[in-house]
Amino acid sequence: MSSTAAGWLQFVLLFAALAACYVPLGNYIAHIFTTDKDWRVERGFYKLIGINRSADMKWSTYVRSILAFSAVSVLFLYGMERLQHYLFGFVGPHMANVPQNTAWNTAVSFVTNTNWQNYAGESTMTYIVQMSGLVVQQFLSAAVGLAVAIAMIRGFTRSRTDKLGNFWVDVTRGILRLLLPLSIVGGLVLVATGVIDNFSAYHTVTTLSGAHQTIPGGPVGSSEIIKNMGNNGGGWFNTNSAHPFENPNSFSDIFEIFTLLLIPFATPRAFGKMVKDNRQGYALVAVMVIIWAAAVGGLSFFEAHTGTGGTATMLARHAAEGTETRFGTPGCSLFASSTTVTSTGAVNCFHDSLTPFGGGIALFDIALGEIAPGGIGAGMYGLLILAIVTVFVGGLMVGRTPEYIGKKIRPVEMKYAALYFLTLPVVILTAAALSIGTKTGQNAIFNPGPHGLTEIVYAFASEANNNGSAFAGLGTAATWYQTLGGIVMLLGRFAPEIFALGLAGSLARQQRVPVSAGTLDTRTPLFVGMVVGVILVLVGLTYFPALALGPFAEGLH
Amino acid sequence: MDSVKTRGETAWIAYGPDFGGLYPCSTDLSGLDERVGRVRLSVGGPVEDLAYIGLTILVFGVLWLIVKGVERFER
Repeated sequence: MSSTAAGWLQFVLLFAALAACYVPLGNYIAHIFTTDKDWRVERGFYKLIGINRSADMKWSTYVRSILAFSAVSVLFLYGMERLQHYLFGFVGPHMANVPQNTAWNTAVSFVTNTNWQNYAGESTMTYIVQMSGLVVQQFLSAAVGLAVAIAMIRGFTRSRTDKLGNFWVDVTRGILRLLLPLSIVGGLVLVATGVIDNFSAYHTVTTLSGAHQTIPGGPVGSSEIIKNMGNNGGGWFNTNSAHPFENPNSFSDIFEIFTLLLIPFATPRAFGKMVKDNRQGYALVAVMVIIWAAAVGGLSFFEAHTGTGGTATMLARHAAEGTETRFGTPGCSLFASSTTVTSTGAVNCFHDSLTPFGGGIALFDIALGEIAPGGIGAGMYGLLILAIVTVFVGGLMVGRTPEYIGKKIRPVEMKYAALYFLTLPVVILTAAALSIGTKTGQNAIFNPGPHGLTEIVYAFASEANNNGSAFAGLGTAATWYQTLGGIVMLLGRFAPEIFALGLAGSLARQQRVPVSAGTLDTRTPLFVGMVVGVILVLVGLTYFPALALGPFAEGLH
Repeated sequence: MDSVKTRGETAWIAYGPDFGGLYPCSTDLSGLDERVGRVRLSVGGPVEDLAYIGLTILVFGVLWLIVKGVERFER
């Protein structure tokens, strides 16, 4: 079987597996956040931290809880990294304290679900810091994203109230009922495929040529699963899922891609279930599938097409540089497109080595705001806001009342949607412009010209959208990029969440309007096409100059 | 067609511990214990720690003010 055929077979199998999980997992997620029954362990936890579980929160209280929780998390994680040599070196290899700029960037990165890594895990972090610091944040940040999506959905399901639920209850349930059970099962599967999971010290061995090589260890399997399942992406090892201890074979590779897509693709079903109209969920998941399939197809085409990648690519008959030979170009393309349409950022090949147009697609995926299917929770609330914009635009075009799921889309809702959508381009393009326009920023650019521009825009787009994958080839470990990148991650994560929850609060205060002859049906293929069109036009217009001067200019050179 | 990379640097740059310059880290695991002993003291500095703690509070403070601003806009 040719590698191209094997690649498409992988895609079809992946699609079938995700389709099979859509209904049961989506129904389960809806059940988690709608049932009144608490587990005993949950009641004990609420008592322990002093939470009144029946106290519903206003949107502003909900978002303040997120901000307070995240601020404390950043400071706590920063402290762990800075003191790891003194406090956390008793298991596994000893490590120095992490330098301040790297420690802060990493703390922010893991709390915001970005997992941008300016360090190599195997030679920088102790086992305890990785396990009880970084991996814990991988659970917490994923649960926070899911909680925001659920609060957003409640904006549609509730009427004449300003309450969106209880943040602490939502996060606790998300972790205990969804992420932990799935991670335990998935972690065991990964270990069975050969992913290492131990507390061994590093071993130094002598190779056949007489050289010495240090073999790292670590409880990798148990962290690898939440890295993907929670759309985090921060690898135990520097080379992430290209490392044989993290991703040993083709089965583990496809399983990792499956796990990073699983929850985001099932969330529209939970949405349909919660708004009591499953067809609304099908419409949104159709939008996600169309964009994801187009990204996989486009990236695979350019990586396999020898005319677009330079001399080396033409000689090799495909873009082989930076590609892990165990997975080949199709495996790289499927992983790269799946990791960039979600907010995962894990990699099994090197994105800087993608062909110019292939890399352009990865950048475009991230610029979409990661809504197809997007990060855990973040994809859902991002897509809901774009659906609201589409309803408004569509309603104006065909003379229908702008309504979505029984809620009127008024100027106030559109202002929230506009603020949500404008935040990321402003943050990304301002940070990129500052880096290009200052000597400090320029010092770390190693590839001038279009490729260098792509690297900078990709870096800040990845950080602001909480993806975390890197084009590299850019000295992002310089203090300028560590510090500015941290600010970009914080603003890119929390400012849109503020506007999303504000919009949800505004929707929740409305009374439901009955469906009438003037209501635009948002369950039809026409609406699906309109949402896809609105997304492409909005993103295309916003990022076209950067894409034209970066990957397009490089590809057409 | 020439390579798109016009400088001699390799595309895959190891982000690992050198604790200096643009790349604070390397993936070279040999002699890790000796390097840890050497580097441990050189990466201290309470002023820089305070600066990053202050920056965290500042950014979250700005986000807090955005929430307040949106609340005022709602009224």
